[in-house]
Amino acid sequence: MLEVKQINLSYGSQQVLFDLSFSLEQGEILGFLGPNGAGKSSTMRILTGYLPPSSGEVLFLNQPVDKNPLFLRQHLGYLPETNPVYPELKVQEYLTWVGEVKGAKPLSKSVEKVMSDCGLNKVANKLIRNLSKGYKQRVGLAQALLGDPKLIILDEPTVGLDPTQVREIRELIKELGKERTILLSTHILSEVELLCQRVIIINHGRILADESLEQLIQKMGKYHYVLVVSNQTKIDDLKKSLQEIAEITQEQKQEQGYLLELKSKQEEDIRAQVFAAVVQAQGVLLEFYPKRYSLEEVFVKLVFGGEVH
Amino acid sequence: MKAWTLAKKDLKILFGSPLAYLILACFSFVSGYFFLSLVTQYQIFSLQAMQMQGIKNFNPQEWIIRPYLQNSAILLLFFIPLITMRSFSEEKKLGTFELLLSYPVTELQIVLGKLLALAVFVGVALLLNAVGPILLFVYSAPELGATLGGYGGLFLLGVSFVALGVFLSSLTENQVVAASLTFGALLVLWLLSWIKDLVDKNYQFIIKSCSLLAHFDSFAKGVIAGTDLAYFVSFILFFLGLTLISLENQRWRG
Repeated sequence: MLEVKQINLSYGSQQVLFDLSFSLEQGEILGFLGPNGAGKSSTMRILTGYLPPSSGEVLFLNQPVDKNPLFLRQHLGYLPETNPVYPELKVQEYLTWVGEVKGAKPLSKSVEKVMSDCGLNKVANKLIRNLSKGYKQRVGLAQALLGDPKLIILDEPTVGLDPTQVREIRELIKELGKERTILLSTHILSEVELLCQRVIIINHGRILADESLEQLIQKMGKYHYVLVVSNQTKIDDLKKSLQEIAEITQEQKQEQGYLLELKSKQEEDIRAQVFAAVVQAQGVLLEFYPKRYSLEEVFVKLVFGGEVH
Repeated sequence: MKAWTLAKKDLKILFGSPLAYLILACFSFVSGYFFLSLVTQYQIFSLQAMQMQGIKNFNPQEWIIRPYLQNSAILLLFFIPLITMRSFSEEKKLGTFELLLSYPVTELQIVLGKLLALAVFVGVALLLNAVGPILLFVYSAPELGATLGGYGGLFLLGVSFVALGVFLSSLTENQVVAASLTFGALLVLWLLSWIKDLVDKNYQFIIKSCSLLAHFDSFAKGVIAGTDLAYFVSFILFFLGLTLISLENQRWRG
């Protein structure tokens, strides 16, 4: 649906994005992750056609965005990071206007629908200026959803909401994701874990990872093992023989035995050797499983571990 | 149609704020004062005119409406920067401009919408301004055609000021800077008509053709000249084009 081809972006002599390429499939919720200043918002601006890239191109349904911006704009729902709204207008007034500009049909029905979807009925006749941050955020989300957009780009949609609102909005996004294509840029990792099938992690304007959440977590945990051995194991002997093939990243005494975390030195399958070593140390293997990282650990490892995908 | 939809939003914001009413009130008050003094002056002179024969063109058209239109043109010059200053500056500062460009509208429609909204405002201001001359029609008999032509010219002049103001507000996020630039530019265009007598006769036409108010003179007299009409229309189109280029250019620079 959306295809990004080798995008570079420079502000003067400073290059912000390097050779970004990825694509977005119909009906997918893609999480876009990165630390502050990684180039997320610049990328969003390029995708919406607001900012022309220094080189490369963006295709929306096989149409180049820079040559035919109106085609994208007809099918786009966009919530920018700063959530810009007109403070002088009333909520319903503003949304009706947006619906009119976006050509939503039938107008009053679609406005009513997004207002109830985003829980705005209570504040329909309030000036946007007087709303709390959470309600303003909902107004921003509501304007993005108007006009039945095929592609929805949300830049940090749940910022400033209270926990129940966050849950409601996430439910809404999940519901929308069944039919629409959503690109979700966020800092909140649990949100990505909850909503997205696929994530892209970027840092310093480069893509570090672009795969499904499951694959990413598995890949990061590959050749990392956790084992629990029984109390009677000769732990020093075991550690000695294990250190030849693996790095012991964590060691912990537990009630039933010892917990060890291993990382293969040669990036290879060492399960057989581990088993043999435990037997040799006269121990019993109680638990043995590949380590499973949380998205947070993966993120920190990718972004700050200097590992390049 | 899209341009009008966009303009509606600007009008709602404009007329939802006290600023619009404040400006309209000030504009009406000062122009009312001018009108009153012109009428009083006319009354005094008309007594003398009855005694002395031979004052040419002594009629309300020449002595009230024409100077009134000219004074109103100067007044517009002072007030218009105050309403054009926010047009693009505010959108850029709020970030709503970026959002606007994610809607199915073109840049041209956005600029036209801005012009349209402000043209409506100028129209409202001129309607209030016309209360005096309308009363004059009740008690006297000025020329209807000439007065309407004069107001048509005043409207075109106002929209030209607006076009310049919208362009200058597209250059900056700061409303005060936008207003100051617009006021300065309009002032220079006005002052040009003052120095036209100081310049060598051969070059006078250059100065004259640059000055907006010089082109308005014939309208105030009630003459709609093709050159003046073309001048205003091309002035508006020129700044509309510049605004488009400026908006495009700023997106490239990010």
